[in-house]
Amino acid sequence: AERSPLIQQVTFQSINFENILTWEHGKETSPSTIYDVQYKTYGATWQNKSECQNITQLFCNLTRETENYTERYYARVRAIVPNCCVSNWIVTPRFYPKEDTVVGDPEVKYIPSIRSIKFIIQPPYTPLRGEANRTLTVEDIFRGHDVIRYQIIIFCQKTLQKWKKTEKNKEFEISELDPDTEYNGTIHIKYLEKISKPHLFRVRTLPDNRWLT
Amino acid sequence: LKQLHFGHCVVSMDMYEIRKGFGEIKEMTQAQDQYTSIRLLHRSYSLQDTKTEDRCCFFHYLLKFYLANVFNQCQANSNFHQRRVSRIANNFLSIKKELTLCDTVTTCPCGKEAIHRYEQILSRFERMESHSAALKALGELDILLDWIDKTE
Amino acid sequence: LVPLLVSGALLPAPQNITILSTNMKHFLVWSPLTVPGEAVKYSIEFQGEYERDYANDSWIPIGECTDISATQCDITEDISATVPYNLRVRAAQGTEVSRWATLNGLFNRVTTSLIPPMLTVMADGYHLLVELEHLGPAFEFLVLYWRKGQENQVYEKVVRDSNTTVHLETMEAGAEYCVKAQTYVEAINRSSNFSQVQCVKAAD
Repeated sequence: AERSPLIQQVTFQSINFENILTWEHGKETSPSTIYDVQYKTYGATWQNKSECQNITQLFCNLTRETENYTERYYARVRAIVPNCCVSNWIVTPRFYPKEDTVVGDPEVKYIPSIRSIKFIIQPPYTPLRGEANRTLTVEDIFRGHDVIRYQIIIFCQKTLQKWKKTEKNKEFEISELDPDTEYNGTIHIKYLEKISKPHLFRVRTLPDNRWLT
Repeated sequence: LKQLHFGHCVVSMDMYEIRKGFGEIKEMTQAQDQYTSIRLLHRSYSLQDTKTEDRCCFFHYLLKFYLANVFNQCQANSNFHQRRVSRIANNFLSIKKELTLCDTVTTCPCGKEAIHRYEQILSRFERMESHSAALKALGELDILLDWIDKTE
Repeated sequence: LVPLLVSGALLPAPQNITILSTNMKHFLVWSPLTVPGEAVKYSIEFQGEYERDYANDSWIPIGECTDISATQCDITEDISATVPYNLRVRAAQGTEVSRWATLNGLFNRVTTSLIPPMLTVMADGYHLLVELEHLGPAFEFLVLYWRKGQENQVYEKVVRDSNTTVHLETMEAGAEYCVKAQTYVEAINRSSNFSQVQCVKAAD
């Protein structure tokens, strides 16, 4: 009977331009199996990933080798069963970081007042460096290719109304809210007709104690 | 809608329809391309880096190349694939018709650079077996769309 | 006029083929065949300008509209460029197949009829909100809003994805605001007429 493949699901898993090659071993793969990894820019020739030769783990970090996010890449893996056999190379689909990376959820600070809430968004950082070796955020990268927007969907517990507002800046304020009321919702980054993972928030406006004084 | 300005002439491209059509066949098409050491639309002949006055002609060449040499070679697969290729091809034709109108409004000069760049792409294409070459060119459509996006 | 088949004669081709196109949704419609015997099935094929000019006048079947019993089918997905399209239908009964009947004249989606959008205007305390019907990615909405009594100062907002209620403005206490909207389809560069005006009052 045909043996189950030694390697399956060879793909790039990419979040915020951290590009990890992952694969799965077959059902009958021996625990002593080791793996070799190679990568290439589309249109060029294969190269060994030196840190991922004869490895036992099922992943390999190729972030540095695929850091030009406007290029296209391939990676491939083969299995070696000591004193037995070597599998064929199994290749990934073509990988295009700019299009294929998933943008994670942003970090958000909120400053509630009596009748408003201020939101301060921090877009996710990437492993990529810009001028003066500054760490780039996903906003730095996509701003050169498209208009970046921040979308807030807010739900008012008191009126049970949910509505959406799209903002241009990372800092914005939602005003004219009700005092001492809970608001929850999501904040996304919108880029290249796509949307990041959502940041979920739950915030309560301050009570209006001014009539006490 | 992406608008390309060539002199007084404006060509609009429904990038959404084209990217949607291509997105649905991209993985299947690229997976059939076994020659991953060859790239037709090479970065050194990109549209956005072409001299401004040569862009109109180079772009016209690229449209005609895809219409005449690529899409009709890639229709055989499944009905699903055929319909997506038709979506892309008819949008390319719509753009080419606008560009042809441009020729009457403004000149679309074909300088040496435009011709040289196109010939580089065509010669790589012709060195391959025709169906494999057409499949590779179709699989590189996202490269062409990126060039168009980056062309001011 | 519904064709009636005399037994033994060839299966007649479908008739009265027309396109109903509203808000960029395109349906091909035809008259049913009344013939004795097994159920009649219909199949549609389309041909864009590319297929005529570059692909030897070839026709492409539409999977979802092949061997169907209904006498209409949604062909929106395949009318996906602003070029003239040819469309044809044929009938089949068992092993017998009719001639193709072709739509009279070519169809270009630029002729679709655009209808003013349905909208619901709400006030959530001091927040002016509008809910727009979801018409798909080809549509944008131009929303105009103004404070009643200040008709000379109209604000506008372009809304692209309309699947959630949209915040327009933070209103002044007790003031009344009015809203109207029209759709715009960039691919064919056309707009609908404006919707009815709707007004709401902010909390005091």
